[in-house]
Amino acid sequence: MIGEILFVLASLITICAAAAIFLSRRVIHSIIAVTFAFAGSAALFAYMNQVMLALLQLFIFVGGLSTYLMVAVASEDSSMPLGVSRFVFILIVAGIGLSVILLGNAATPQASYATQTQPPGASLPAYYSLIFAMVALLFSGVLGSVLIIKRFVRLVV
Amino acid sequence: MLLAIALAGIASHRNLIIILLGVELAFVASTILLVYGIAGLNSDPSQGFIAILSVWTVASVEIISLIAVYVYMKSRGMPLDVSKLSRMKW
Repeated sequence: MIGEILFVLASLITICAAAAIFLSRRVIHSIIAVTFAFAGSAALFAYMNQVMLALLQLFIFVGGLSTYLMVAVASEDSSMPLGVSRFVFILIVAGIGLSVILLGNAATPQASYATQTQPPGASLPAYYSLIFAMVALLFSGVLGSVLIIKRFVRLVV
Repeated sequence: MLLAIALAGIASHRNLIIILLGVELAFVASTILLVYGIAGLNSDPSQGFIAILSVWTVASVEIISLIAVYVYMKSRGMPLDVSKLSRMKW
């Protein structure tokens, strides 16, 4: 019972945050909304008994990338209006959602996943090299972005 | 549902940041589907875990490059409206 309530709560938070990304008037509000969407998806992972994935989602996206986004956008003038038609956005969401429901593809997750036989990270040691390659790709992206910023913008430390 | 919202947001907005946040939301939706495939369908968790890591890596690099492009464009005074980007000259 409590699990189902938590699932509904996490789903509502994720969907409302996702809608708030496109309905807010300022970019910084959209980034705060995407942070809540990341956190809501981490809660959904935890509900599906994937606690390690939930923690990784929190650490990487909420703790790292969302913070990076907010610092970068907040340091610039973000008062530019988004120039969006909310009516068009709501129409498109309603159209896509209605078509999915009519096609009968609305899938709901099961109540429990107690039949999981292997923990999420049990096969992790076999893929260390691939993980290091992904981390290297990530940090190369970070270094590239810092170089671009230093090349064209005077950094104030 | 999340993918529908992301597609709607990408289609209805002109701001570059909001469009790329919509792409990010699509990545989140795909990750949730992958985790459901691992947990609910009793498939091989290792392959699903690697797929999730791949999606996360691409999403992270996309955010990082988004910030770099955003800071560059703001410093040059370039508009973030994608309908005006074709008129920019390098």
